[in-house]
Amino acid sequence: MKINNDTIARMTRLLRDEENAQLHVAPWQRNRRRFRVPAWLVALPAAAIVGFFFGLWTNSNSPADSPLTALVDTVYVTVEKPATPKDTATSMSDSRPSAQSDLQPISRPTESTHRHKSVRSSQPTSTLTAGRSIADDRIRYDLLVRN
Amino acid sequence: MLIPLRLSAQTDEQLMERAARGSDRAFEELYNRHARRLQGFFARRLGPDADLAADFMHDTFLRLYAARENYHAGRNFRAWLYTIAYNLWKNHIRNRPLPQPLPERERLRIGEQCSGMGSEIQDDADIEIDIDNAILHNALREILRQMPEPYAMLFSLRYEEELTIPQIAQITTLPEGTVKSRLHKTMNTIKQQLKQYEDQ
Repeated sequence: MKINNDTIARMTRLLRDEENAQLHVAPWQRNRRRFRVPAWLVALPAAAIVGFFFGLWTNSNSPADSPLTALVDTVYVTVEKPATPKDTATSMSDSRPSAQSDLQPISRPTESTHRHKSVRSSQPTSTLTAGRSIADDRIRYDLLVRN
Repeated sequence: MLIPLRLSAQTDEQLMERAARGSDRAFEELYNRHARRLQGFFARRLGPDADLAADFMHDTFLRLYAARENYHAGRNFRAWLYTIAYNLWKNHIRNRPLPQPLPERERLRIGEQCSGMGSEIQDDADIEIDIDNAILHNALREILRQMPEPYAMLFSLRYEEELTIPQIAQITTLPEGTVKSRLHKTMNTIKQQLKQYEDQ
């Protein structure tokens, strides 16, 4: 066999093909998932859920959200506190003659007269206040308490 | 104008343009076309470690994938691919120790195997031709394995990967004249070494 450039080139290609045929070539690793959930299909429900819990957290009760509550303007709740001995004393001091009370101010016990910090003013924080009558329109306004 | 829809009907450059625009299927088609050949190129240049060649092949394609957006139309795809592969190989051999040549006893054993194959069967003419070819192939394989760099790389790019002289010059950043002269010298060396098998 005559050995020239063409012979060598041909033999080289044959050797190359033989060696390449014995190789194990790994496939290209790509993402083969055919179906993908659209992003908006995930984002919209997620935003709704997040908004719902955010509304709960901020305790939102806008008029649009609570029409029944919006009907009620103000609800007064009357709470009667049990009378304490101090309240009794205060009421006694208030029951002076009206002429005298008009001339000079009524001396009320203040915090300076009491040594203990725990003693509060004799005036009760919640007193009987006039509000709308409960039974006027047969609606239990006392149950419609706005938080 | 008819637009070929099948990826297999498109050229490497068309596929690379599609890959540059974000088509992973086009890039996979390119991988399927060139992976085996590139892995063989690394296997011949890096030695018998098949896993190392596979790693280099994957590394080449990963770099190509990372740089796919830099591809511009008209650039030869194979020249670009082998430029990446050549640079990876160059960085690798720069950091590894020089390969030791085969000892004399091993070279004699290979020579005996080659000559022994020819002396065993002499009857059938076709078989004789096959044996002659097998002897030549083994001898050529051994010569290419023993060939020093950069001659082996230039020979591989020209005759195994069938790249053109300008492409090889672009890949190796050598002048075309240097590539030609080195290839000529390499071919003459191979011919000299195969002279003993001529007309056997």
